[in-house]
Amino acid sequence: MKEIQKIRQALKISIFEVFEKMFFVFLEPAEGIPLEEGVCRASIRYRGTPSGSIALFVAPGLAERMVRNLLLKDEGDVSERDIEDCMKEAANMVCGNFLRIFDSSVTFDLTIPEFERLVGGVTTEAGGKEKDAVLLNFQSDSGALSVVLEKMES
Amino acid sequence: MSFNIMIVDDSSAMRQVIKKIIGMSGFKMDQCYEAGHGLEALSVLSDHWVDVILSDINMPRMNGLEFLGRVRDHELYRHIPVIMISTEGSTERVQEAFDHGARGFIKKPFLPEEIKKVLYQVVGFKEDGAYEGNSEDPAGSEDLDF
Repeated sequence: MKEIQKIRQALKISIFEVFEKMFFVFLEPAEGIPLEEGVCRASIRYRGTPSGSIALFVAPGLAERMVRNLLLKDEGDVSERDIEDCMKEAANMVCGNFLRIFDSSVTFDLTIPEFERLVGGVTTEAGGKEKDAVLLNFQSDSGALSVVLEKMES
Repeated sequence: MSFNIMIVDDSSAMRQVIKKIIGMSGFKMDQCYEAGHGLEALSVLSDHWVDVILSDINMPRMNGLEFLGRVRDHELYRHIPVIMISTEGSTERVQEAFDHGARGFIKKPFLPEEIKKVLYQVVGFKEDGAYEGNSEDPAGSEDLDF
């Protein structure tokens, strides 16, 4: 149980750092928020001790704002390709930063991030496996963010 | 004096961000070449003169460390300073990058000032254009957890 608390804390710090430093988005922790139609899902896996995966579920409005802030683009000037690229990079940074905060003495191998635009709304959950998964929900003035970390066998 | 730069990152968004930061920093940049992975970067090097390389580590086809090794092993490219910009910041991975010959290391997420500082350190110029010598000490490492 102690390890999962350490994971939760490191993941939270990582998310705040990445969103504030790179995307100029300030998040507030929130309870479970249903995400509307067209949610962006960006995920990445890491292998080491421990191994696992991290998935970001980003509301469409927040995803567009992240692109505009990162690339200094105007409203309406954001392409689907920009969104995919930024979401993948966000997953990559959240994961790498989390692992560094969690244990900088261990070297992890990261996969190439994946992206998909989900049809229909979603409600993220840790699947009831509190021991092996962490779910963090956030709210911003552009929409919600949910992050799910699942531990895997090394 | 102005410099030709190459940014190697599989994320087009990240390449754009880094390019904008360098452009806005006042750094004297002439050409800015881009590559999506190490193999593409080697191809750019075979066709163009490049003064400084900024490279990600986690990339498809040829990752940043393998690319760095290929640059260091090449008679014509080995002198080109390479700065790694990566989310992968474990002590061992950073040391591995320096052992492979990286001249700087910047952790993502980064602040624009960090890129500017390491870039100037690596090329050996001050922001006012004065030359202060090309230090062999790795740049950016003072902020890392050694």
